[in-house]
Amino acid sequence: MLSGSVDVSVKQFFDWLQPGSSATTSELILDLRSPRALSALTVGALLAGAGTLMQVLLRNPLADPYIMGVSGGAAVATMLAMLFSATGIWLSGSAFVGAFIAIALVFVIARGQGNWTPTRLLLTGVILAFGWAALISFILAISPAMQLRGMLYWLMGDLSGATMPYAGIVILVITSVVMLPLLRQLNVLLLGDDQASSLGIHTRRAQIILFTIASLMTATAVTIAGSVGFVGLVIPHLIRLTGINDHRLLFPASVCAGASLLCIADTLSRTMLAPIQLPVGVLTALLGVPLFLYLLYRDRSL
Amino acid sequence: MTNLLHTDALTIHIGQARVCTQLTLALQAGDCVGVLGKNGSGKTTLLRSLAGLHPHDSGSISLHGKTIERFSLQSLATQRSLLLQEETTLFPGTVAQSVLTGRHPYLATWQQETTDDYAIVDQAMQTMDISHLRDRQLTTLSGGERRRVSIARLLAQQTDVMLLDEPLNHLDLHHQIALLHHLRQCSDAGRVIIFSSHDPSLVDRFCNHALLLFGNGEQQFGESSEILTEETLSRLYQHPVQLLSNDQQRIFVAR
Repeated sequence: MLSGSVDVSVKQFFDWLQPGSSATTSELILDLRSPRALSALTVGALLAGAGTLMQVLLRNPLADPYIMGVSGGAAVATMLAMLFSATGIWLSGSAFVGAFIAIALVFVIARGQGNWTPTRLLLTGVILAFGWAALISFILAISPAMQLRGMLYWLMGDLSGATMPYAGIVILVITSVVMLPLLRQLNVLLLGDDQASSLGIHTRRAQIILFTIASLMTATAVTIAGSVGFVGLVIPHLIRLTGINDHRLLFPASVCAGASLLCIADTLSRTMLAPIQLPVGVLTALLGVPLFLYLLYRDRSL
Repeated sequence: MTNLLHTDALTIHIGQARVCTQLTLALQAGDCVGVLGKNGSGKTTLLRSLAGLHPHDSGSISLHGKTIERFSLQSLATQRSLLLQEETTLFPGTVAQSVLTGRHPYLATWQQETTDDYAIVDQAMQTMDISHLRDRQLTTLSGGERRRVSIARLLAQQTDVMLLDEPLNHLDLHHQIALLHHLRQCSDAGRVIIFSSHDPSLVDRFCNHALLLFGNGEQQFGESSEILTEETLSRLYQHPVQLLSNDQQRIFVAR
């Protein structure tokens, strides 16, 4: 809250809490920094939560929220919107629509003639993600130089244009509350479909819920901040490396850790080289990679 | 006395192959059935069907006199358990945590495991001789140890009907016999055990009934002492089988 391109001293911050404070400080805190910090917290929480769920759904430790091409769909839609110089609500609107087109494609195609196995789901998602990536490169290639920087920042994940993430917070709360009673089932689902069914779980129903919730979380995060990498893949593993494997703890812990990491990363991204603002995606990776490697190095169970 | 597990004229297909035709079983507390057959004869499919995980073409399956379709999946999970042939572990987790998932069907949505649940899990781990491994990561275990974890989970599920798909796989000699003794105890205590195996001698020694699947939809069910003969087994495996017996047990060997 206090640091950034313009520093606000602790005294100024407390002055601001009193009536009749200076207008600039108030503007800085209320209009610029609070929305940004809240956005970082929300996006981090959403991504880490979605990552945890995707890893269970696909029964694959390498799964992340974007593995199904959700961010690819959102990226293509957003960049098209940028090409036509759209701003504000149109940009985030197109991101959300793009994300949902991507999700619907995976959902329908993966079903196909047969069953909805993790492998099928994963392959469909990964191939579609390749398709989206090709479209992204295509759009980048034909875009005028002026818009390239904005597009690249979006692709790396960027919170600089963040507004108050009311919708994001609401969706975070709803998805988390829906997941809470189902968390114990996740432990059982990891044993495989047959074993989970024999322990009394409607695996098909659980998979559809997981897919829907994880997709909704991802789409929301992407809409707010573009495709911030790393958080969704690594936070769940980071928590697992601390010895928490029970999803009743793992999920909430991931959500909190994701929020914290992204908030710290975003604060650094706008203060380290101030007044230059780095895309937050760069910082999440710069912070996360050494932390993760250290925990991995220390851990002997893998 | 109602049958614990009853199948009435049960016919099952998988793909193009027929597993069994008009199979009628009336199993009561104390029954232990060994399922024998060649690779691909449908042992696994039959067990999955009995567990309600594979659809049957005709006939019915009932537990305690109630057809399995009328159970909710969760209450079914407190009536019958199924040991799968293989289980993959990709994510970290300890032995005790894995066994604890066997208590899942007994817990209400918001309920945490109680001390009773932990006691049952401890007992199951003790039975399977894995208590000393309780805090070990699953990924660091040997194949046989992991198998014992899966079986401990099944024991922790505490169901009246226990279905086991090749439970002896990966187990060493001692643990094979210890497991079979324990399963026998379970059936003597009033449960029904059905397991598939490739060892007719052990089925003969520990099971009071045997079910032979011939792979063409034909099956044979009866007292193991009666239907396990050189002749039927040679036909079952399409390989000459010889009986060697001493005073205590009958041993079938492939020639």
